[in-house]
Amino acid sequence: MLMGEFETISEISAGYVSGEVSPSEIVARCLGRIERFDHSLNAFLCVARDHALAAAATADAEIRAGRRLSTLHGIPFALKDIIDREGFATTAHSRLLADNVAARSAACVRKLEAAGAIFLGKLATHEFAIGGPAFDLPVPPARNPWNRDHFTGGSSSGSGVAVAARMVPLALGTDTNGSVRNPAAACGIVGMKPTRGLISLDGVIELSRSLDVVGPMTSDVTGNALALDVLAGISTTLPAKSSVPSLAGLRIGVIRRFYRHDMIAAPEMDAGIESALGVLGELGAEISEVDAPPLSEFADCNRVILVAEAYSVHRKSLRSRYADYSKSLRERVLPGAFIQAADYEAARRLQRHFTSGMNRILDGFDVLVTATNLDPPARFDQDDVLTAQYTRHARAPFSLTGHPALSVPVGVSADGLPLAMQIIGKHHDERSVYRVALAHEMANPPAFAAPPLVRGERG
Amino acid sequence: MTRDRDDVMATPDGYLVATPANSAELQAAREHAAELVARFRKGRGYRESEPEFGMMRPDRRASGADG
Repeated sequence: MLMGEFETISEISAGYVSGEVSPSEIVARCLGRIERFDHSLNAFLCVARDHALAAAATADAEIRAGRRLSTLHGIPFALKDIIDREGFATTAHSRLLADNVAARSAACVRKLEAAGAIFLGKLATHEFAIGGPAFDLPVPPARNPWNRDHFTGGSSSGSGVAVAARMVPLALGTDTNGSVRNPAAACGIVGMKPTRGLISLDGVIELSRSLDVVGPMTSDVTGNALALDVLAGISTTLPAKSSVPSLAGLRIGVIRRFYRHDMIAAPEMDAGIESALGVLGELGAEISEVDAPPLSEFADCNRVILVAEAYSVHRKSLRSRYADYSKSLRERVLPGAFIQAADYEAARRLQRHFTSGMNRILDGFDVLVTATNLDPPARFDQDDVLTAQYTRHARAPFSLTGHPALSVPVGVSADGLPLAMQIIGKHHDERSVYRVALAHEMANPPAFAAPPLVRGERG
Repeated sequence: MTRDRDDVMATPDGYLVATPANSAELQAAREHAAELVARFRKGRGYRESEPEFGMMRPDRRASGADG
């Protein structure tokens, strides 16, 4: 196996079928990269080395014997550490759950393993998927493989880092206010927040019952679709094509007001999105601008629901173990104690109102496009910029409305940091989202490049 | 401990009582929540979605998204 070969799920899976590579070789490569890279990236909280090697040996034999279970058979995956895997601790990156060994795997993990995928380990998160990046916890936050001085995005921080650094081809994250799409954008990978309710939350630590979603994170679009198909029991994967597919007749609505009027995106981010739209237009898509309610209204509504629900989850433990939580979690969750029931209920009503409105907008289009984040990721030591970026994004509208939303890379900034855009579809129409993303990926493969440390490894 | 009248003595649900260790954070949390709710109530969407009694007309597609 040459460096740079068999990196994506479909490449690895095809290699298994042809016999060019085996699950044991792929797992060994993942473990080797974890050993080389992760001491400086902190993506993994736990590496299931012995389990993965044993499962890979079993998969070798099964695939050789013609008993291949699915496209994911023998594909390693890792989990944001709020998702249970039987026999391993689910710590939520918190002191509170240091010894919380799961008795049963989450429903989404059971689906991946039933399809033959191989559990490789647990990944860093912001504490309970909301605090952080926190430096007052026993385990430090994950670092961005494009530049370790920069933020990873969160809260599925380890998931973004592990996939970007090619330490694992598939990771699961969770998205409540953009926590799959944010690290996907910041780390230069593909992150899907599917339609809310499509993937079971059984066995996933709750943050906000009205907003939480599990989503796959991968280095490419097809791998993401393959993972979602297994996780959700649906079929979104598009037939493999050797040439860039046409988008003739496809209608794309661009919500520029989010990143040009309501908030102003960094010029490089704006230019990256425009360049990607140019590519989609050249492929035949009909692109027109569409209006929406102000971004701040979505964000405030989302925040009222999120903090009220998160406080209700944590208030008992906050009473008994206040000091064991990170300061950043307390700052983000405690306001929920002061939200009145009538305001919470009004926010839930507004959530339905916005969902109806977004449905009406989508009646006129196949997909929508807007920014994911408004800036490349800030440096960890720029506290004020990091804090400001916490609210500078266009993810909240679709967390609120439950529409499928995919973050895909659109290039790299002059400073070598990833740029991204967001593609949004109708409820349960992930297929159209993937169709547009795949066409863009095939037409502009440099946008999906690996970070320098992986490219350096390839020599 | 002496307090000003506006100091947070406890969370409204009584789960957290102010102590020297947490009172500044509780105070900040109450102010943050007040600012958030004030902004939220100013929004046009909030005003449009506030129903008159008996006038709610839910969009079935909207509730369907909750899966």
